[in-house]
Parts: sequence; C-alpha cells; structure tokens
Amino acid sequence: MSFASETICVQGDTSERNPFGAVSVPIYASATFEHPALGESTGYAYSRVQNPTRDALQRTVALLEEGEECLAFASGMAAITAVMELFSPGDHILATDDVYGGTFRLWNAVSKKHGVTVECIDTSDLEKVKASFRPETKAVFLESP
Amino acid sequence: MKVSDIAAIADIAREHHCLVLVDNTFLSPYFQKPLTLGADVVIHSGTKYLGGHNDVLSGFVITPAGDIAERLKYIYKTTGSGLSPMDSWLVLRGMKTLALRMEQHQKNALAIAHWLKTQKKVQEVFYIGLEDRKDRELILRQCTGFGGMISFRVDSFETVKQVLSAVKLIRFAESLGGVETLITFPMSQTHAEVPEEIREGLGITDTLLRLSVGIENADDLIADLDQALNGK
Repeated sequence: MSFASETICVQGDTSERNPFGAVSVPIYASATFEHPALGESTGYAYSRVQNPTRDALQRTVALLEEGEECLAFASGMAAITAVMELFSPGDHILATDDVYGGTFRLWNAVSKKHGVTVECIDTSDLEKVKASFRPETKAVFLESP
Repeated sequence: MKVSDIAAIADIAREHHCLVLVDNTFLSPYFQKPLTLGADVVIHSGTKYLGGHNDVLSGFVITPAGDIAERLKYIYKTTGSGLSPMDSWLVLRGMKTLALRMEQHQKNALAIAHWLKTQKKVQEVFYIGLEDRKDRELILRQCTGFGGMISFRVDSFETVKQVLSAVKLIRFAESLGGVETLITFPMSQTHAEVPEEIREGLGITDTLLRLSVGIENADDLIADLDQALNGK
C-alpha cells in the first residue's frame, strides 16, 4: 500500500509497528546490540552500521523520495562526501555551476587531491551539457533550485 | 536560481553511461522527486527543510536498490559518519510537519517575491515561483511547488549593509529551510568558496541578498523588510 507525501511524513514506514505500541519512534541509544546465539542476530549489531531509530528515519525519507535505499548522515556535507567516494582517480564529473559553496570546497580541496576532476558548467543549457561529456565522465551533479 | 532539466539530462547521461546525482535540498521531496525523473542518486542536507527547525544537522543519500546502493552502504559502514539516534529522532519529529511547512514557506515566499518586485531599491527578484520566468514550463513539469528560497538584487552595497543591520524579525544568519526567516549575503557566506569569476558569472555580487522564507505571517515579514529597505 502506498501513501501520499503528507501521510508518509506523519506515519513513516507503516509496515512495522513498535512491539510496545509506541506511537513515536523510540530513541535507541545503544552503540551495540547483543546476539541471541552464535550465528543468530536481531538484525542489529553495531550502530555505525545500523540503528533502529535511524532505520525508521531512513525508511521514511526513502518512501518520500520514492527510492528503495536511504542512508542518514551526520550532515549534508558528510552525505556528499560519501557519494564522492563512488569515484576513482581519473574520473571526471560534470556539475552545475550554481552549486553550494561548501560542495564546491569539497570538490576543490578534497576530490581534486584524490584525482577526481569536477567541471562546473551551466547545466540549465542542455546543448552545453551535451557538448561537455568526455570519455572519462562518470556522473552529472545537479542542485535543485 | 537556475533550473536544470533533470529528465532531459538523465536521458543524455544514460547514453554516456553516467550517473545523475541530484541535491534536492531546496525543494525537498514534497515538491520534487528526482528519482522519478530519472536521477540515480538523491542527496539532501536534512538540516534544511526535512528537519525544518534549525535545531539539528543531518544529511541523506537516497537511491533505488542495486549496485550503487550496495557500494554506498559499504562506504557508509566503513567511513562512519552516520547520524546519531538522538539526532535521527529530531529529524523524524521535524519531518512530520514537512507538508504543512512547505505549503506555508511557499505561500509566504510568493507574497514576498511579489512585494519585492514593487520596490524601487530592488532591481531583480529570483524565485522559481514567479509567473514571468522564462523556464516556467520546465518548472511546472518538474516540480509540484516552488519552495521558500528567494534571491534579490538591490541597487547598491550600501543598501545591502543597511538591510542586514536593520532587519529585526528576520535573522541575518547562514542556513535555510527552517521555520524562522533568515537572510544571507551569498557573496561572503554560502558562496565564499566559489572562485570570483564563476560567482560574477552567476550574478553573485555585492548587491545580492538571499532569503530563506520561514513560516511566520507574511505581512509581518514584509513589514520588517520594508523598514529595513526603506527606513520606514
């Protein structure tokens, strides 16, 4: 069953109910999770990897964006930094020139050092976008207005 | 405030076997869903509209299931910059009212953008909800709303300084997307890291101001801008 954005914002992922009936998602302040036995798991082991509170948030955001997977980071820049780890030295990325200054700093100060080239162009000009691809181009980065 | 055609760029990128990454922070998933337009990865600063209350930092990466998602999960667990459970709860709590907030941000932004256009000291107003934009057709095709971000150009740097020191209700602070209205000076704040030639080309000069319109009463916000701009 799928719901509209307003409903998803309020109810989150309705496929799972809290075992105690809590209506607000509990804060699971636990760094680690015990295992019932060797080879058995509750689904959780260590909060760097997975945490039930964060999972509830990730499922809600995934539903809102109509995606299947979502990861929640400590900041927007941490999220972009993780995405940049998808690329390797020699890769080229086309990006909108109308980009947040912090993102530009990441590309200029960190990505460049790792051999990833980010070229900022006017991505509202489709002809310019078409003409800017290179054999080593791996991605196009856009920012919604 | 340029608008790129996500679906058209996704088509071109696919021919070149390239990924399309979209930072969807400004519109939020309430007004735009880039994955449905062909994007492969959506990124958010959840500090902004998703959290919505200027009380918590967060970020998100959203993808369809598949190879990219698995690679990102591996990077995530390895590098360890996940959101804490307490902060996750704050974002969950804030997000419950995302729809209500976005509607009010937009309603206020439309009223303020129209008012700014009538002001003698204001030379240009940039808001994707303005009816006379050349890319109106693309915006209506791609988004279901316009959000609360406005940029505007005033007549001089003197006016910029005057507005930033005279606003009372509106806060002179960096960030966006919260319930409180904020005003920023992009040249030395959000876009300070962008080289001057790119900044100038984008029109981010010493006469440009940016408003993140909050959910207060629009008349109160306009009255504050009026006294800051016109000394009333």
